[in-house]
Order: sequence, then C-alpha cells, then structure tokens
Amino acid sequence: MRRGLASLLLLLAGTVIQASEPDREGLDFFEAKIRPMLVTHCYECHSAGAAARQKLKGSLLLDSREGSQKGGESGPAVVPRRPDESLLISALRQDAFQMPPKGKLPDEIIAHFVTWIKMGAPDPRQGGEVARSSEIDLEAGRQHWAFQPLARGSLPVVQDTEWIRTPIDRFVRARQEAAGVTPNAIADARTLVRRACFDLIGLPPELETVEQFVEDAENDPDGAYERLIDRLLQSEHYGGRWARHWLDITRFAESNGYAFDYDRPHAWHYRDFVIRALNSDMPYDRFVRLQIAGDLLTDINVRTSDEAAAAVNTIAATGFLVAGPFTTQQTQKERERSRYEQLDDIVNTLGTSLLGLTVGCSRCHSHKYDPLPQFDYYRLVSCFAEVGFSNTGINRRPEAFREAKSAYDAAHAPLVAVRTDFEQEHFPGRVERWLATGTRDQAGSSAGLAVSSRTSPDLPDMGPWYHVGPFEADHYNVAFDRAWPPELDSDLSRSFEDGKLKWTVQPEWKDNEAHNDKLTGTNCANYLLRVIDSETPQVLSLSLGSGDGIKLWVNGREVLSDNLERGAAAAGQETATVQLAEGRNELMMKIVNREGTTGFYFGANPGKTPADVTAILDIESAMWDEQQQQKVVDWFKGFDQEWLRLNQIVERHETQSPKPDLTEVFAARVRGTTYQFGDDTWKVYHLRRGNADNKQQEATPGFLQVLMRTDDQGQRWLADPADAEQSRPGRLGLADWLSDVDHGAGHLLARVLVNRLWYHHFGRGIVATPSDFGTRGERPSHPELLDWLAAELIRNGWRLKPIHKRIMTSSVYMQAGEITESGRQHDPENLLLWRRNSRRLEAEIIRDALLAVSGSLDRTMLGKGTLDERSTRRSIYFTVKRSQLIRMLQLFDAPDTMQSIGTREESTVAPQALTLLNSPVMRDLATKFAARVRPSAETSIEEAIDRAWRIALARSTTDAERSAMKEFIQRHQTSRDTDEEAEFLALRDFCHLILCMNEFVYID
Amino acid sequence: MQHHLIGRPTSRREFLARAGLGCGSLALTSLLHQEGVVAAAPATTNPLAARESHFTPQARAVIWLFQTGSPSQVDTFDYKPELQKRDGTELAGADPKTGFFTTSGKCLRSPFKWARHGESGAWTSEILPNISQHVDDIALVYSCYSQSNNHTPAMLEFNSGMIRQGFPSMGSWLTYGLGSENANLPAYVVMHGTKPRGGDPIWSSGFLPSVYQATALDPGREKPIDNLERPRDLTADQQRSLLNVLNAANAKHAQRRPFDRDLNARLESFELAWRMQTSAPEAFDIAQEPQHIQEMYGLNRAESKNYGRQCLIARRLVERGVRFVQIFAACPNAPGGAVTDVPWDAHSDINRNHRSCAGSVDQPTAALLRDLKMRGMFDETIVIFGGEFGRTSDSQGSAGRDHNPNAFTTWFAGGGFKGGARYGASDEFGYKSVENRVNVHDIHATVLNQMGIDHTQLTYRFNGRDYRLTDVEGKVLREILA
Repeated sequence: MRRGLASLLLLLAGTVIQASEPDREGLDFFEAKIRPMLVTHCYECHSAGAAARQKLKGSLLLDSREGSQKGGESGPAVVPRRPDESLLISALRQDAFQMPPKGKLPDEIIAHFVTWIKMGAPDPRQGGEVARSSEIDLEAGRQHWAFQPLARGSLPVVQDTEWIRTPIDRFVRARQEAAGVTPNAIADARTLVRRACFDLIGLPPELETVEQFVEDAENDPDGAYERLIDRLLQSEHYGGRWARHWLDITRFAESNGYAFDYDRPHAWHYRDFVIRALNSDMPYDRFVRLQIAGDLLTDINVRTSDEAAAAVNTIAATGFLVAGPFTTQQTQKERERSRYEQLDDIVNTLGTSLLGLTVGCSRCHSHKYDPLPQFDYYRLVSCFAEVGFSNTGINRRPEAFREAKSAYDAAHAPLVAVRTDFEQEHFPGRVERWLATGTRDQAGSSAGLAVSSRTSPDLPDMGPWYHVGPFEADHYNVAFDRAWPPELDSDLSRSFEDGKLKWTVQPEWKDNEAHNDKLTGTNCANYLLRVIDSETPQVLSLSLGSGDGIKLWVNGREVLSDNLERGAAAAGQETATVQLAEGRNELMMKIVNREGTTGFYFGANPGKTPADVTAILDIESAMWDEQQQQKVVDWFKGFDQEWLRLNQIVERHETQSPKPDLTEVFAARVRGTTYQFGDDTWKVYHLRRGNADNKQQEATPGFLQVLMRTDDQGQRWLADPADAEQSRPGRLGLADWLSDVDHGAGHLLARVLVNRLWYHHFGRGIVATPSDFGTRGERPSHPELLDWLAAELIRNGWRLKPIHKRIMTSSVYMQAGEITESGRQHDPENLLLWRRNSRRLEAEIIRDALLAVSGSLDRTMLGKGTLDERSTRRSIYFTVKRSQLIRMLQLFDAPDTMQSIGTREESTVAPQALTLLNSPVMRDLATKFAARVRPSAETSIEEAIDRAWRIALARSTTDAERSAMKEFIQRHQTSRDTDEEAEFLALRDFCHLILCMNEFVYID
Repeated sequence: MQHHLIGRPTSRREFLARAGLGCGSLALTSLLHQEGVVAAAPATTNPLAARESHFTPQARAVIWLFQTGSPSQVDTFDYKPELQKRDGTELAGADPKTGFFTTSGKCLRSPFKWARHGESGAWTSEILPNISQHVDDIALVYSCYSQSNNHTPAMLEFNSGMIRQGFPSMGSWLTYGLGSENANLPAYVVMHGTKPRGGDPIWSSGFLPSVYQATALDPGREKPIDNLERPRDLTADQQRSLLNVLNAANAKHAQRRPFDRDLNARLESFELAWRMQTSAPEAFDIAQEPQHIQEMYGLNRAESKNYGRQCLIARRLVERGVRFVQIFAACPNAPGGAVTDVPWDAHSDINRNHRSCAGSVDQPTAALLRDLKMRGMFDETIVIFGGEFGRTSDSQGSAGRDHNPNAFTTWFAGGGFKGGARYGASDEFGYKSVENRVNVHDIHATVLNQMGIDHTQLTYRFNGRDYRLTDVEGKVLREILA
C-alpha cells in the first residue's frame, strides 16, 4: 500500500518535471546566482542536513525544488513566475520574515532571486526528499539468512561419536551421516605438523620441530598436537602469515596507482599494525574500530615512548580507509567525481571486507538483488565525508626530546639574554645616531646610510672567495638541510672530514660570471665564503645563481634559502638585498647539488634601502608608532657589528636545537589530502544515478537499514554518549553499529570473519563466496556451524586465536586426504568435508618456503619494506608498489591491489614452471639448499637425500625414492665428470628438483 | 539437433573426473612412469589436446588487432559527408553524457581527406593508405555498439562479453573449446606494448580452468618471456633428466590425489615450459625473416616498429599452430590527449593523435593481410581490427573526440569473411548505430561460428549456471560471411 503510494508520488513528480523542463540558460542562472546563495545563507536551517541535526526551522526545506515550492509552515516559499506571491522574496526583503536572520542580503542578490522566480524558478534539484528504501521491501530483505540473528540451536546429535573432537565436528559429521558419507581418520603426525605450520605461520616446520612433534605425538597424540597449535599461535610469524590474508581484503598498497603511481613511503605502518594486532590477538571489534576511526581515537601529542608507539599503531590502522588507488592527474572538472570514486572505494572495501556485502552496487541505483537502498549507500558514504589522507608525524621519543629540549633551552636562554640586554642598553640610542649621520640617497629618501646613488667603483673591497667542499650526504635534502661544520664556524684555518677538505682561496673566481666548472659532487654541499671590508655601512643588491639549491648568510644572518632543482647556474636566478656593516663582513654561500653539473653565479651592485623602511624614514621619527619604530630598529641591526656578533652566536646555537624524532605515518586524517573542489569538498550528497552533476539533498551519516533493528535511523550509535542531543563523528557511530550484535551489524560482522578464517584453513569457506553474503552469493554449506562459530567468536571477546584453535583441533581439520568410496560416490566435490583437500601454497608462502628450506630466510619482523627482489625477508615485507608488483609473486596469483580480494585465483601456467626451472634465483636457492643438506663430505649422499626430503617435505624418503634420487644424482655427476665439483653440482640439481615438486608446494 | 564437443569437460566437476579419475588416468600415469616421456597425454585427458569442433570450421586461427583506446569511426572508415558539411554546428540529439568527459554538442568534421577504394568502393580516410589497398579483402561492420564508455570495462566487454571482471575471455573460451594445435606453444597469446588499461584481467580465463589462460607478453622487450633460457650450468639433457624424475615424482603424488585437478595441470605446465624453451624463441625470432618481409611490416620505421613486430610475430605464431593471438596495438606515441596504454584515445586532438597512431598501425596491418595471402594462410585465419568503442561526432574541447560506445566500425578479414562486404550503418553523423546494429555478442558468435563452434553450445557450468561466451545473446552475422 505504502509502496504503491510512493510510486504514484514518484510518477507525479515525474510529470511535473516533464511539464516544466527548464532551459539550459535558466539552469545556468540558478547554478551561478541562486544555488550558492541558498547553500550559504539558507541550508543551515532549511535543508535535510539541518533536519538531521534537528535544526530545521519552520518545516521549510530549501535544498530541493519540491521543498522550495511546497514550502514550510507558512506556505509555498517559491511560486514560479510570481515573485510577489513567493514567501522567499518577502522574507529576503525582510517583509514577512527577516531572512536570513544574520542580516539582509544586498539588493542585487535579492533582484537575482526575483529574476529567477520570474524565469519560472528553474531548479535542477530533482527528487526532494530522497526515498529511504524506494522499491526495496526491507522487512522481506531481512529474511535473507545473512541478516537473521545468529541461530542458537543445540548441537546436532551424531552416531559416529568417535570421530567427534569438538562441537565443530558434530555439525560436519551430522551432514555427512545424512548423506551417507564417511570421513577420513586423523592424518599422520608428519602431515599434521606440516599442515599446521604452513597454515598458521606460513613456513615449513623446522627439522627439529617435526622430530620433536613426532616423538611427543607417539606418547600423547592429542596433547602434543594441542601444544603444537598453542606454540604456533604464539609465534610472531603467525601475524606475518595471517596479516597477508587481511591485506588482500583491504587492497593494501604503498603507492597511489594510476599513471604516476607516486609512492606512499609511510604506508607500511598499516601492514605492521595488522601484524601486531594479530599477534597480540586484538579483539576483532577493536581491530575494526581502529581501522575505521583510529585517527579520531588517537591523541598525537604523546608524552612517552610507549604512548608514541601506541599512537603510531592506532593511527596507522586507518590505512584501511586510505589504501585505495588515488589518481593525481585530474582536471578541475573531474575532481568532484573522483572524490566520490575515492569515497566509493572506501565504502565498497568496507562493505566487502567487513560485511560481505556488495554495498558499492547501490551507488547508482538501489541494489538489484540485496536489500540495500541507494539511500543507505550515501548515508554510509557520508560517514567518511571529511576523510582525507596525510602523513602524520608522531614524536617517537618524547622523553628524550623533552630532556634535550630543556638542556638546549637552558643553554640558549643566556645567549638570547645577552643579545636582548644589548638591544635594551644600546637601542634605540644607536638608531638615533645612525639617523643623525645618515645621508639621503638619489631618490631623495632619508635612507640612513644607504648608498644607492653610488655606482660600482664604489663597491667595497669584496675580497676573494674561499671554498670548501663537497660535503656529501646520502640524499640531496640531507645535504641541503644539514648544518655542516663550516656553517657553524667560519674559521678559515679549519679542515674537515679528517683533513680531506680544507678552505682554499680562489682569487680567479670572478664576480659577474657563471662558474659551472669549479664545484663538484653528488648530493652534496659546497661552501663559498668571502670577507668584505666596507668603509661604511651600506646596502648591496646581489644577483645570484646556483645549481641546484642555495643558501646565503651575511654576517651569520640567513638571508636566502631556496631548495630546488635546476641545471647550470646563471645570472639572476636569485636576487637578494643585503646589508654590510662598517669594517669586516662575512658573506657565505652554500651551493647544494643533486647530481651532474653544479655551479654558482655572484654579482653585486650598490643597493637601496627597502621601500617599506624608507617610507617610515620619511616620517618624522617622533611620529613613529611602536611598529614603525621596531621596523627601523630591525633594519639598522644589520649595520651594527656588535649586534651582528651577538646575533650570530644566537643563530648558530639555534641550528643545534633538538628536533623531535618524528615517525611519519600514512593514515586517514580529517580534512587531509583529497581532491579539492570548493565548498562541497567535505560534503556528501545523495546523487541521482551516482552522478555528481545531479545532486539531491545533502547526506548525513547513517548505516544499512537492513542491519538495524531499531526505529531511530541509527541515532543509537550516532548520538554522543555524553550528550544525546549532540551527534558524534559518523565513523565512531559506524564502528559501534558494525559490532553491535543485538541491534546492528555485529552478527554479520562475526559471520563474515569466521567464514574467512574457515576459508583460509580449508580452502573453501562455509560460504563459498567469502566477500558476498548477499542473495547472489553462495548459501552456507553448514549454516548452523557458521552461526555457532560466530557466536563462539563473540563469546571469546572477539578474539581470533581461540577460534583458530577450535578449528584446528577438530577432526574435520585434522583428517587425512584419502578418498573414501562413499565420498567419491556421494560428494565428489567434497562439500561435506569428508577429506582434506590438498592446497597449493600462496605466492608469498611459496617464496618464503623456498628461502626457508634453502636456509637463507631473514626472519626480521616489521619495519619498512623493499622493492629489491633479491631481499631474503619474508614476502610480506616487500613494498607494494602498484605499478611495480613483485613479478615472482604476481606469477603465483598475488593480488593486483586494486580492489578487495576475498579469494585468490589459483592459476597453473607454464611461466611459473619456467621461473622455477630457469630463474637464476632458483638456481641460487638450490645451491644453498645443497650446501645445507650436505654440510660436509662426511655426509653420505643417501643421508643428504633423506635430509633434503625431511627439510623440504617433513618426511623421510621411501626406499624407492631414495634409490631413484641417488641414481639421478649419480647420473648428473657422471654427466659432469670433468668438473671438479661434479658431485656438488649433481646434488644441487637434485635440490632444485625437490623445490619444483608438487609435494613441496601442495600441502596435504 | 544436439551438438556436443567431443572429449570436452563441460563443468568443473566433469573436468575433475576427466583429469583425474577418468579412464585416461591410468594411461597417463603409466606413460609418465616411463622415463623420458615427452609426448602429450592422450586427448581424452589432456585439457589442452586439440578437439573436434561442432562443425567444419572455416578458420583455424584468429589474430585480433585490438586498437586500444579506440579509433574514431568518422575519421577512419565511416565517411559522413553530413558531418563534414556541418562542422561547428549543433549536433542534433547530442548527449553530453555519451563520453567519459563532456562534449561540446557541436559537430567536428574529420580533418582528413577521404576517398573510395577498390572494387567495393569503400571509403577510407587518408591516414590509412595501406589498409585502403585491402578494402576488397575486408568486411566492414559500421554499426557496432558497446555498453561501457570507459576503457577498461569496454575492453573487458570486448574480450569476455561482460563489463565486469572475472569472466573468461574469448581466447580462453576458444582454447577450452578447441584445445591447442601446437603443444609446444601456448594456445592463446596476448601481445601488448604498454599494458592496456585494465591489464591482465582483460585476458583472464575467468572461471574456466587456468590452463586456458593467456600467455601475455611484450614482444618489444629483448626477452619477451621471462626465464625462457635454461640456466647456463645445466645442459638440455640434464634438465630433461631433471624433468623426467620430477614428472615421475609429481605423477605419483597426483595419482594418490586424483581429486586435486591442479596437480595434473602443474605437471603439464612443466612440460609446456620445457617445450617452450625451444619453440618459443624460434617462434619469436623475427631475425629469421628476410629483410624485405621485415620492412614490409615496417620494422625499419620507429613509429611502426613495435606494432609491426607484434603483427609479424602473430603471423609466425599462427603459422605454428597458435589458435588465438590478440594484439593490443603498441604505438610509441600517443599525442592529442591519449596515453600509451590507450593510444587511440584522442581526447584533445584527433588530427595529431590519429595521424600518429595510424602511422604506427596502417602499414603493418596491411602487411599482415598481404603476408597471410602470400602464404595461403588468409582463408583460414580471421583478422579482426577495431577498438573497444568509437568516438563522438561532436568535439571534446576544440579538436578532440570523446568515447562513444553507440557507434563504431570493426572489420574482419580472412577466415571465411566476405571481402568487400559492408554491413550495418550509423546515422548520418556517425553518432549512433542505426541499421543492423551489432554488439559484442554478435561478433563473438560470428567468430566462434567460423571456428566451427556453435556459440550456444559452448558452455561451462559455474556456480550452478551454464555460462556461455555470448551470455544469452549473440547472432551470427551471416551477411558478412562468404
């Protein structure tokens, strides 16, 4: 009934639109003159946004055409073509009402409104109030299994109780019994230990681990196995292994993607956050909360190192939101659309990863299959309206910094005090003296001692250049920023870098010439210093050039600093006005080079006192206000030898000021970087057909209605807990809604997660489409089991490790992979889990296993990654650069990082085999493996063969295998009979062979 | 009438049964137990073995010259005098949302000179002087349209029929349907320069078994396929011996796990790798071609060198039994608003862009047609030329054209297509396809038909549904078949 009415209204609205389809000119007028005024002056109290904030006045909505024409409590605000009947006009004229309340708008603007209404009030803002659920029947939608509360039925009764180890087994066995399928018995100890190790830590078991476990298991099979699982869950490599699964789901990468693919050098902290969270068994609800709103929950003004480490971690968690691709090549026109793309990436990833819902499908229209109205989509997007990204700096050692800072402050204060005392004692007396003795320059201004009328013969004695350098650094910016020793002490007799660098006088380095053949070095600084003897205080105008960056000091005062990249030095690249005091002046230049040619240009001419100073000097000094007085004093300081000396001491000491040890973290930040397009940048509108050119009303934060069991449109989560009248950031509400089992999405959040765990343990989820729990996804093969696991997760405080353990100590996990007749007959696809499927290792784990067995794995945890394919760290520590993905990993189906990936493809293609057979890396690993299995000539070939087998496959050779391999080695040795190392090379061929075996990469 | 492709698994389940448990498995394992066995396993078990088609095929191979970024129909093959006349005037019915950006709504005439060619009298523009000489060999379809106005989805659509990722591309379907004629080379080869926008998913095997996946390579690189060379310290005999023992071990491992299909695929992949080591370098070695052939393909000109290489290698691959070669046109320059991953994408300057891209592809394309004819391969090789959509008849900016999925030209040659045929039409401005409209499914249906496959019968069951390349559509364009 209600739906019928709604469609009728829509229909009518459609007719109206047709009837008054406005012309383009009118719409342009609206966009140019009317909309900006409405947004600025009216929306605050008369829009859907205001309504949501409970700030709507007079029931009047001016953010849609329908709202404006329908009007509020007092009647229609806009009557097309009749300005005099339109309340809006009378309100603007301050007749009936006084609007806007802050004051009458200029007549010109009111005239625009009149013109607009006369035009027929053309207004593209169609639709008015956006339908909350349009054609979707939410109540019917809630009947879908995934939206139902968790079932809390009793455990199934089974006949075959012997097979049952955990409640999980009951669910599995019950279905098998119903189908007449017999499962496998528990696998042997060696199979189990290999399976468990790869599964939990992604590394092959160590030789000793296997032997120890096999021995333990003989006496106490169940206890030994449980202890094994406990140990593995405690291993730090558990986090390294399982984090990769999560990173697939969150499209993690460390660059922007698209054409330029700029790096995000501080994005790896997110990867470390995930690893740490898993290792510490962080409750999943908190894990989710931090990823959605960690930046809002973090105070970056940390006081201790512990707080700093925690802050880095919690803020890095929001890498989840901003890991997606971001194009930097944008035209102005594309920005708004790109912003919605960026927000869509966030919401889409959130929906897929956390809720297993293809929320993104509701962007342009309500979801075709799932009960997800388009309305919900934009409310969800609105939670992220202010999200941008940035690198946030966090002081990693606040205690040390505080200490150093107070020591520095203590040393610095007296130096400043000396200068201040001097100033108070001698200024302004000295200034008055300067003024009294000053001359007038050509321009007629009383320029104190300025000498601009003089020409070059009157330049002071500039003195020859002294040069020292190059001072080389690892990076250009370091060379530029660092205060190398010559900056701190201009004693020309000093030498540097163990005497390798000395000041040398360069009388041939003439002024007014570019010198691009004198200086050398890469990522380096060269210093040039000259002593200028000036008879009088005077002003110089300098023309400077540098390749690349330049800094300039006069008498210890920095007058120029330009960090840039350019080719050869030339005249006029930089200019500066500098002051010389009477007597000895020191002028120092720092020329900083990246690579290739470096050089400088220097030319001096008599200069003028700056105009803003002469303007004051033209006024009678008695009339100066404080500011003018200060300005004059500051200018004259540059001529005062004594003050300059004291100032130099202060400035040089300042270069020693301690810097906080900042750790930069790439993370979400409120109003951080995004596409900028003016007022609407940080707003989200409901968009008709997903089109940013067709905005409807402003969207306010909200959640998926199908997953809300309340009538308050999410106010329960959006209201500030401290003050129900106030709302809090949508992201905080979202995090609470997501994990609210009773009223929100918590049951689905839990279901999706335990299904992912199951998927990674078994190779197929209980729901075979782990990222789609909607109506188009697969239905669960064992729905009661899924709900039991989800409830178990929640009961365990959302901790994952107890669930891992539950699963892994079940018969269904521990069973062997044999084929039973009943299984083959009734369930060849093994949907009922009567056998353990063998599974190929993922790309990263294949590589890690190759490194591990060959004895070359570097187990260092965490920290910045690398793109160097020769790295021997675990594969998760490769930097993920979107345009430069690691080839070996790509070959074995590592994700392309563009979108959330819930299940990886598993391809088997010839290029994989080519890599394994022919790549130099594989040959090298085989060599190392060979050296490991046969540490000395005393080791017999048979022993080496068996050892290799046990290292790589966790089992001994059979007799047949041993003799076949021995024969192989002998044959290869014979084929190389002239080679001294024939035996070792043959052993290497054998080791290479093992690394290519199916048994090595397929785990039973 | 019921068509069944003989010896072809039609679902994952059947695939499992065939690859592992079928009657052939014993034969396979026993074969592999004999040392030194190289030969492919019997047809019934090898998923890549050559298979019979539904009916007698007209063609044996496809070379798809994909013009990435999309050439403008009204500047290449679809001459529109009305558009030329009304330059700068309002384009009636122009929809600013047609393209990726917004267009002016004003007609933009083609900046090129047009002429008729051959006996068929087909119009072409001056930028394609070489292809123009072949208009009597090609069948022009003027009425193509596609769904998406965005490169990646449109390319996905052209390859798989779907604008979303995850569906098998036509090359994979063909390989699945017909197997491979040369066990030593991949059956389905993709050659690109700069990887086209959208990358690997464009030639994905989707839900089909991964053995039907494309081998994608950049022939411009010195070593088009990574790791094709044997390690220097391993002789061919030694590596063969290693493989023999490896195969025996893997076969034994697989035998005990008959349900795990990938194990056999992996075994096969090592054999293919071994064979590729010798066959692939030979197939890719264009130095073996005489000078005049190399020059005919434009290898001596910087602008056509890369694409010429792609075409020449395509011919060599097809000659050696490769079933499906897809070329994503490599153009070294992409001026006028395009980027090299979509070189024809002339957003800002159609004149500069199209002259440059045509300069890259015109000569080699014509050379390929000529070469195929000279070698008697033309009749059994389908050559397809076209982009993922067309371009707007109104301008973007002052001199560019935006994407236009509503009308574009694709042409077909060889493989039983009717030379000189002209089919369908766009409106008088070339803006919308109006007569005998042809979509991607129709093109797929027609190509499959020429390869001897009934597109409605080539199916694969996935997630409970029998999928086809042509989904629920597709009609064979008999009018352009000989």
